[in-house]
Amino acid sequence: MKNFAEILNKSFPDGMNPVLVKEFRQTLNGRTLAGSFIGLVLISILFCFLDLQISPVGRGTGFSALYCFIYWFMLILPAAGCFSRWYVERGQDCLTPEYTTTLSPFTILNGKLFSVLISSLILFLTGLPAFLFLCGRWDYSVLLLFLLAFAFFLATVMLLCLLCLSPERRKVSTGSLPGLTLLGLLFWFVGFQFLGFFCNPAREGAFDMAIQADVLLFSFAVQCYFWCYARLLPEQANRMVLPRISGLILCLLLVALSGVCRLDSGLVLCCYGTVNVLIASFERLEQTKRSCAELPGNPFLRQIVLFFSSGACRGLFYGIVFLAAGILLLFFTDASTGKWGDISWNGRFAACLDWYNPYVAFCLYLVFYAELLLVLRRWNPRWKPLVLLLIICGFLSLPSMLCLFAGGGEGIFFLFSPLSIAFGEKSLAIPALLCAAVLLVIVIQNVSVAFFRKVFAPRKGE
Amino acid sequence: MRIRVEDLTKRFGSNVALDKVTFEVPSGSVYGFVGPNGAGKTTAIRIMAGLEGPDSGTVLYDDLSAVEYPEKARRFVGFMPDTLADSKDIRVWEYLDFFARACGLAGKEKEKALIRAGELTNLDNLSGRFLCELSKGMKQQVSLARILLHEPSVLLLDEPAAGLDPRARAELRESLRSLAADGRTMLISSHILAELEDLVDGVVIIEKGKISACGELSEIRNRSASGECRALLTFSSDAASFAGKVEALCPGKSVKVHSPRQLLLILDSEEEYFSAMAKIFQAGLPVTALSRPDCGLEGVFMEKTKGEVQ
Ligand SMILES: Nc1ncnc2c1ncn2[C@@H]1O[C@H](COP(=O)(O)OP(=O)(O)OP(=O)(O)O)[C@@H](O)[C@H]1O
Ligand SMILES: [Mg+2]
Repeated sequence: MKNFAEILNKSFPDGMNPVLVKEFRQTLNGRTLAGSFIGLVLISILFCFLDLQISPVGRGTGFSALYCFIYWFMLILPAAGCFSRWYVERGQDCLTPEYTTTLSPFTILNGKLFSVLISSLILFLTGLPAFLFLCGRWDYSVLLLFLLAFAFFLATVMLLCLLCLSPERRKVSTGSLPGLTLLGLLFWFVGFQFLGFFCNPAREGAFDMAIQADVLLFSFAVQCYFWCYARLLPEQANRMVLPRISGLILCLLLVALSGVCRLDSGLVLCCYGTVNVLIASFERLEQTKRSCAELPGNPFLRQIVLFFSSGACRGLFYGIVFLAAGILLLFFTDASTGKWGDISWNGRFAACLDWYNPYVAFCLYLVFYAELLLVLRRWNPRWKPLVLLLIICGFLSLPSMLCLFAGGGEGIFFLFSPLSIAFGEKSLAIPALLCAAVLLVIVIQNVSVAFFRKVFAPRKGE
Repeated sequence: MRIRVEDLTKRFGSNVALDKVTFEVPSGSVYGFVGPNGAGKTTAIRIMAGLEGPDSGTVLYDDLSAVEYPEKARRFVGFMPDTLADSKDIRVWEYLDFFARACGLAGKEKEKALIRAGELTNLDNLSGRFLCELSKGMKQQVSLARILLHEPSVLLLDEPAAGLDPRARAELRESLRSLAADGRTMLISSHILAELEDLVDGVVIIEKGKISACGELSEIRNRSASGECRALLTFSSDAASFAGKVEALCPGKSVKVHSPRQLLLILDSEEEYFSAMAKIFQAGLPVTALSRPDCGLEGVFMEKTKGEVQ
C-alpha cells in the first residue's frame, strides 16, 4: 500500500491542477480513505456472504436497506475527512497561504471539489457490486433514490466548501458550527429516508418527492458552486455577477424542465426567484472604482452586469433562513389537520401542495419588503438589514391583520395583504411581481447614492 | 518596489483596528513594523497582502493598488502569516511543490526554484518529513522557503521570529539579511526589537491603530533627541559596590542602581559618553556588558508608545 502511494505521489504531471495534486497527496498520506476502503470491502463481503446463507424466503428489503444505509455513510467518510481537515486548517489560518498565490478562484475550488469527489467515487465503485447484488432489482425507483442521495451529497459538499473556504480569519466558530450541525442532522434525515424507503414496499408518494428534491438539490449545488467562487474573488470586483446569472439561468431551466417531468414549476420559481432577488437586495450596491472600470461598454450588457453586480454574502444567509423555514413548514405540516408535527409520509406530500400557495405569496412579499429595504439602505448604509426587514414586515403585515379583523376577502386592506396573492389569481400575479422586483433593482442600481441622499435625506455631517 | 499605505481604516464592529494609517517604505529598504499587542499590525499586513479589504484607504505598490487588484499584487508580494505552516498529512517537499506549481513553475524551473529556496533556508534534510511533525523553528523555515519560491520583490513578514530559540532566531536573521542584500523591500513585524535592531533601515511604530512614528531610525531618533545620554553598565558582581567608583570617575553625573547587577549612568551629551566610557574601562572596572537603552530601537519604541494594550 505504501509503495503504491509513493508511486502515485511522484507521478502527478506538472500541468495538473496544483490544489488537486496537493489535496490528493494529503488524502493518500492520511488514513481515512484507505481505512474506509478496507472497511467497505469487508462489510460488502460479509453482507453478501450472509445473504447467501439466509434462505431465499428470509431475504428481505430490510437487509438490503441496512447495507444501503452503511454504504451511504461510508461514501461520506472521506469527504468528511477532507472537510474536517479544511475546517481545522482554516481555524489555524493555514488556508491563507493558498490565497496569497496567484491561483484563480476556479482552480482552488475545482481542486478541492474534485479531490473530494474522486475519493468518494473510489468508494462508490468499491461498494457498487455488493449493492447491485443485494438490492437485486435495479428498478427506476432505486436509481432515483441514488440520484437523490448523490444530489444531496453534492449540495452538501458545496455548502461545506462555502463554509470552509472563506479567507477571513477569526470567524470560524461563529458562522460555521451551526451550519455544520445542521448539515449533520440533515445527513441523518436522508439516511433514515433510505431506511423508510426500503421498508415501505408500496413507495407511494416517495417517487414524486424524490424528483422534486433531486432537482432542487442539484440546482442548489450548482448555485453553491458559484457562491463559493464569488467568496474567493476580491470584494472590489463584480463578484456576484456569476452566481446571480447562474441563478437566473437555473430558474429558467427549471421552469422549462417542469414541462417535461413532473416538476412543480411554481415552487421552483418561487424558491429561486426569492433567493436571488433577496441576495440582490441585501448587498452593498455601491460600485467600487474597479467594478466601474470593469463594466462593459455596451449599454445593454452594462445594465445586465449592473443588475448582478457586487456585494457581500448576507443576502445568502437570509435567503436560506427564509427558504429553510418555509420548506420545514411545508414538510412537517399535515394537510388534513393543518397541524405541525404529524409526519406521515403521504400527508406530508399533500401538505406541500396545499401550503405551497401561501408560501409563494409569503416569498414574494418578502421580495418586496427587501426592495423597500434596499431603498432605505441606500439612504443610510449603516442601517442593519435584519432590523429593517423586521420593521417593514411588521408594518406591512398590518393590512393582513386588519383585513382579517374586518372579516373579509374584499376591500382595500385585502389588496395590500399577502392573502390577496394566496387566495387570488396567481398565474398573472407571480410573474408580474417578479418582473416588478427586477425592475426595482435596475432602477435602484442606476441611481447614484449621492442622488438618493440628496433627495431623501438632506442631512448634515454625513 | 516602493510600498505606500494611505489612510487605511478598518473596523471590526465598533472596534477600530486601523485608524487612517499612512506610511511609506522606500524601495529596497527593510522596515520594522512594531507596536504593542493589538495595535493592528497583523490587520494592516493582511490588508497589504490582499487578504482582506479595508473599510477605506489604499495600499500602493509603486502605482498598483493592492486593495483594488489584490490578485495582481500577489505576483510580487510574499506574505508570511503569523501562524505556522501546519497542514495535516503532507510532507515538506509536497507542500513546497504545491506552492511552486501554484506560482506557475514547471519542470526544470520548478526544481531550480525549490533547490534555491531550500538552500536559502537550510531545508535540505527536512524535505521528507511531515509538516505537522516539525518544530516551530522548522515550520517557520518552511514558511519562509514557501514565500521565496516566486521570487517576490516585496516581503511582508508577520512576527517571523515568534517562538524561536536563540539559535533558530540567529539563523532566521541570517536568511533575512541575505534576502535584504538582494534589494527586496521588506516589512517585518516583530516584538523582539533586538532582532530588528541590526536588520532594519527604518521603523513604523503603530499604537491603537494609529501610526505614532515612521521613517529611518536615525531620523526618528534625532527628532526626539533631548541631548541626554543614558548608559546601562552590567557588572559581573554586585553593582552597588561599584557605584562609588563610577561616580568618582564621572563627577557630577547621576549614577543609579538599576538592578542588582546594573548601574544606570546619565550623561549630558554624546561627547561626555565617550570620555566617561574610556575612563571606566581604563580604570579596569569589571563591566561585562554595556548598552544604551534610550538609543536603540527599544528606546524609540518605549518613547513613542504609551504601553496601553487596546
Ligand atoms: N477578525 C477580527 N474580528 C474582530 N476583531 C479583530 C479581528 N482581527 C483583529 N481584530 C481586532 O483588531 C485589533 C488589532 O488586531 P491585530 O491582530 O491586527 O493586532 P496585532 O498588532 O497584530 O497584535 P499582536 O501583536 O498581538 O499580534 C485588535 O483589537 C483585535 O481585537
Ligand atoms: Mg499580530
